[in-house]
Amino acid sequence: MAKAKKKAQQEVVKPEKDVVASMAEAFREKLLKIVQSGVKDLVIDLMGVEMVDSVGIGVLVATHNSVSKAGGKMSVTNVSEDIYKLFKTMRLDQHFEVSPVAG
Amino acid sequence: MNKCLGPMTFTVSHNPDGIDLRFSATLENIDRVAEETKRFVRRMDVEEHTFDVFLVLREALVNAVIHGSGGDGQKIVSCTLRLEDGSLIMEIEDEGEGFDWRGCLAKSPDPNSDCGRGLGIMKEYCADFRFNDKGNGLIMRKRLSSRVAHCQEISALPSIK
Repeated sequence: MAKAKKKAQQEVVKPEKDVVASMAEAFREKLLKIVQSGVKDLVIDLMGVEMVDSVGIGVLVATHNSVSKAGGKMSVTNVSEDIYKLFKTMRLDQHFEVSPVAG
Repeated sequence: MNKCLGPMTFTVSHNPDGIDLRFSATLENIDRVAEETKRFVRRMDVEEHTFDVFLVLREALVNAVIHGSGGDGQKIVSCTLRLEDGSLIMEIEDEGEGFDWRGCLAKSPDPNSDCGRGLGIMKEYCADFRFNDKGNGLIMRKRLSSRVAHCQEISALPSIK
């Protein structure tokens, strides 16, 4: 499902669908495998994603915790206005870098 | 319209001001309820800003499926949506034993935990919600600013003579 692009030390993952309960378990496993492969700069690109629920947020926080433990970092980019507001409200920006979609 | 897929249940009943859904407690069915809700708000002409509606509805459904029903697809969750006085009323009920919602609402989510944010989101995004005493039923009211809601407000005013 999610596409992953490699650029040197960086790995960009695009879920390309809403990050919600029904896909969370498979997405969590995919991200964990990437972290276990030794990636130190993980970027989750939410371009086109319209919804992230609490289960999806849980996957992002769990992945961030795993990357940090392994000495790396995670960031989330191209976040829609509504999801950006949700992440700020839930103070996720205090855990990892969150960048809104341009324009 | 009724849709039954083998042992899995997913039924939708339409009425003039709302829809009633009954479905097997699976995470995939939450997505189907979200799709039906999108169609409903489009029909009701209240599509102006629906992110908050879909978010709180999803949180309530996740609670009902994962916690209320324990992920048991044999259990049924019911969800009723209706437009009333410019607000969308959402009622969700599961067949589970309920939970200590008073205790859970009093707690703040652990920022480092990967779970436990659902009720926190509901508190932030829905000013008006209440559980039944047992905790297996929830009613939420989201105020809508739309042409329909606006018209209903105006029609509620006394007529000029």
